Amino acid sequence: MPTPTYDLIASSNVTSAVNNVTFSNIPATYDDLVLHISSIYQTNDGTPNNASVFMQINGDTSSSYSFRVFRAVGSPIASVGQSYGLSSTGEISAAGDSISLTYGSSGTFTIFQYKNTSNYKQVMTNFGNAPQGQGADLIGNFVWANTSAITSLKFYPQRNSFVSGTQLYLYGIKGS
Amino acid sequence: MTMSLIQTVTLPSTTNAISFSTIPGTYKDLYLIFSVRGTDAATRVPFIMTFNNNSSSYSGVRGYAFEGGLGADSGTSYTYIPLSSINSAGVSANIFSPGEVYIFNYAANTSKTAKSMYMASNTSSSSFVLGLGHHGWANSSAVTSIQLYPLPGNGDLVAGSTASLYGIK
Repeated sequence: MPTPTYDLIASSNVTSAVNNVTFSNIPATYDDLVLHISSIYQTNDGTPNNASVFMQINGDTSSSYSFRVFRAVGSPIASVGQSYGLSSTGEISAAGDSISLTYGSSGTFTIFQYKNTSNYKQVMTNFGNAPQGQGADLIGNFVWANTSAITSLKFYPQRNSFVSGTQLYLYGIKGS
Repeated sequence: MTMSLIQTVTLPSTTNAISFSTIPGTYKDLYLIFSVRGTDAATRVPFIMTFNNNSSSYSGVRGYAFEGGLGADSGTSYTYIPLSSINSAGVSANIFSPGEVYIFNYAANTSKTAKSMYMASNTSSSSFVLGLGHHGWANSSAVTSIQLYPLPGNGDLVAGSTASLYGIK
């Protein structure tokens, strides 16, 4: 039998609206973390565009987060672009249209060397959606300018709530 | 699908390359994940990959975003796989560059293909590159070793640079 190296640490299957999903007490027994998100629905608040999924590390609400995104957008004319900046609101924002109650967003967050206490933390995302031809993000890079080991991850929508159908799975990848 | 660790290499000191050798031919695909940083004084340096220490018959295309906009490159006669750009001594000392490579049918008696995703950035957010690549190696030999290193003439890899190779069944 091969040695398992891609282990499920925790998961959340949302069955009723919640403001956030938080994974706490993440064990320091892996090298990297991967989060799979699927069907990220939000309640319709009448502002259906450019809702984002946020990730906050260790409850840090400072401006220690920065982002860079390489994206393709499907509407009104298909195009590619990039954006970058510093977060002033204390989180990582994986942008993506995710307001539809029919279509969700999906993707992965890879969190490198999460227990390393010498380096700032790097997060690589491949995230987005393509409902109704509106748009899909391709890849993103996020830096948390902090050398603390990551022990908790909080995910929450830009507006309103995650609703039934949302699934989050956190995996640990072992090295040696 | 099962994913098994083949080997992790973490450099204990400045070294010019990360190498995986004697890769068993018992898997279908290979998955490589890395976090590395260069020693050169530049902000970023090219980071390349070869199979079996071979220096011919590589091809590929990359699309990327960087602080100046968007870019793409391609080629059919590479002597290496131009995998990515990685952070070097020109950016804050504690920021490494992450990336991943998925190598398809590495043990098959056909040409090899791989896809990659990579990024290099600084905390200022105004210095970065992130991109996607697809790569080919027109060689029917099984991949039994992989070499990762800065393009020659662009310094070495710092201590703490690490990469893990997994087999996918």
